Amino acid sequence: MSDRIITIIPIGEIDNSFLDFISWSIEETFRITTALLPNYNLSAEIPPPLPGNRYNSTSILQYLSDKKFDNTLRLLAITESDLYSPIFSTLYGEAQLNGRCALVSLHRLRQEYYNLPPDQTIFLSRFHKVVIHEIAHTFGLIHCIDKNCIMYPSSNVIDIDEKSSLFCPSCNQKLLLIN
Amino acid sequence: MDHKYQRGMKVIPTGERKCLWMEAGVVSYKLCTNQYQCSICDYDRAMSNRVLKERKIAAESVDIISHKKEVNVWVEEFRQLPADQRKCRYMLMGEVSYKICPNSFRCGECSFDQMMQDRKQPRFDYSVKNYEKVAGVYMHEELQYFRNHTWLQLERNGKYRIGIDDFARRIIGKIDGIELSAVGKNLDFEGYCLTIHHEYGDLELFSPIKGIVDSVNQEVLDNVTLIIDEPYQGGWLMTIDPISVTKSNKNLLKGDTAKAWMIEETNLLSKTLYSDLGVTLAEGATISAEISQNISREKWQELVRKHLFVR
Ligand SMILES: [Zn+2]
Ligand SMILES: [Zn+2]
Repeated sequence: MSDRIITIIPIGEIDNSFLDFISWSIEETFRITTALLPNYNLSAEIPPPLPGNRYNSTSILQYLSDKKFDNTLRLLAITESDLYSPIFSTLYGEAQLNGRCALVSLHRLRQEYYNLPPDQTIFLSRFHKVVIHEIAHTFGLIHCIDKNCIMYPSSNVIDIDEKSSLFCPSCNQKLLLIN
Repeated sequence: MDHKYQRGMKVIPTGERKCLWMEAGVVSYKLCTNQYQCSICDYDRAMSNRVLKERKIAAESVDIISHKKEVNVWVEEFRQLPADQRKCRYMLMGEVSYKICPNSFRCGECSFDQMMQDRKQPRFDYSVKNYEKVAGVYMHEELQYFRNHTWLQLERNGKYRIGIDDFARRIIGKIDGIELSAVGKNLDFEGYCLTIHHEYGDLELFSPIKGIVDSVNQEVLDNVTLIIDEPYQGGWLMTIDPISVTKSNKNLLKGDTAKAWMIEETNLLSKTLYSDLGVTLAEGATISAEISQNISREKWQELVRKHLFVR
């Protein structure tokens, strides 16, 4: 039982209410206990960000995957910083397929980022979908062609809003087999 | 007269249009199934061939006059038809209010037809509002995609305009130069039509359709960056006069099928680019246009081989 924990690491300051919300989300979806680590400062460990405080998501994943974490089945890192990768110019999140680590950025998930009035419900719904999507990658699920499925590869927040927060029957089946 | 009487009895269902060959009185009953795009119509092709053959027989015959009675040399007969049976195809389509065909329905040789075609190009609305991002790749609802990441679009004149898609231009990155097949070249299905010179090696891409090269985009030859900057617009490559549309059509993807295929292509891309981290998948991502600068030559060559089927 001890290694069946999903460890959540906030990278930099993250609002506690968001962390509580996402712990509950993960436990509800995957039926796996979560553990929350204190804030982590990565700035000394990874290459400096690009202008606009954009961090290389692959470098963060690399750092986290090399590090030992006790009792950890899966590791979810959350950051407020914007992310990019050498392969993908912008991203909301990245995860190791069948691996241990997933990373999610809150930067582009808020309405304010698009010059719209703040909306906590919309923001948390996007946060939930991106986190569950990324963790599901670590359990071996790839991108799904069903626009309604949480594993659909969203190109923008409209895609995230339009898809459901559930797995389609086919993805659900794969998830059940893995677990 | 018998012939005309029979024709008069045939009922044209509402919304249907008479084939030009029926309009000209060559056949007694045939509806147009191709929106008067005669140049891509198999029936028109067959009938034109028949007329040519008949003309040839007539010309080769010593006694042309006696042959004329037996052979339906319809072009000559056409001129004697009353005006209401010689309506121009643009009048039949409702695009001009009144125009009598001066050219025996040989639209390919008609200057009025050429003018109308020029006026209508391009039919396809290339504006950005019609693009949708699928797994971070711009796609267009109206375009057909071939599995080597070329696109094609049927133009009003029955020719196909072709180019490379947004996915291809992102993984290719920077182009040093290109070569296009010459006008008049007969491209087989999967015949190579484009050579791209790239710092990691030359790429040869094949045509998504069988046919004769009808025109090439001179602007793209003068300025190869157009392919990368505007793959669906100014970066089009050539137009092709199709030889066999129906045969190659089933290999072309459109709409939801094309979108599903693109998602699978991006899944495959992530798998090909595995690193120390294994395979990683990203959400909300747009494939970087600088990807070729961030991977090794070997990886890049693997990508273009897998996705663009290059030689
Ligand atoms: Zn699914
Ligand atoms: Zn994903």
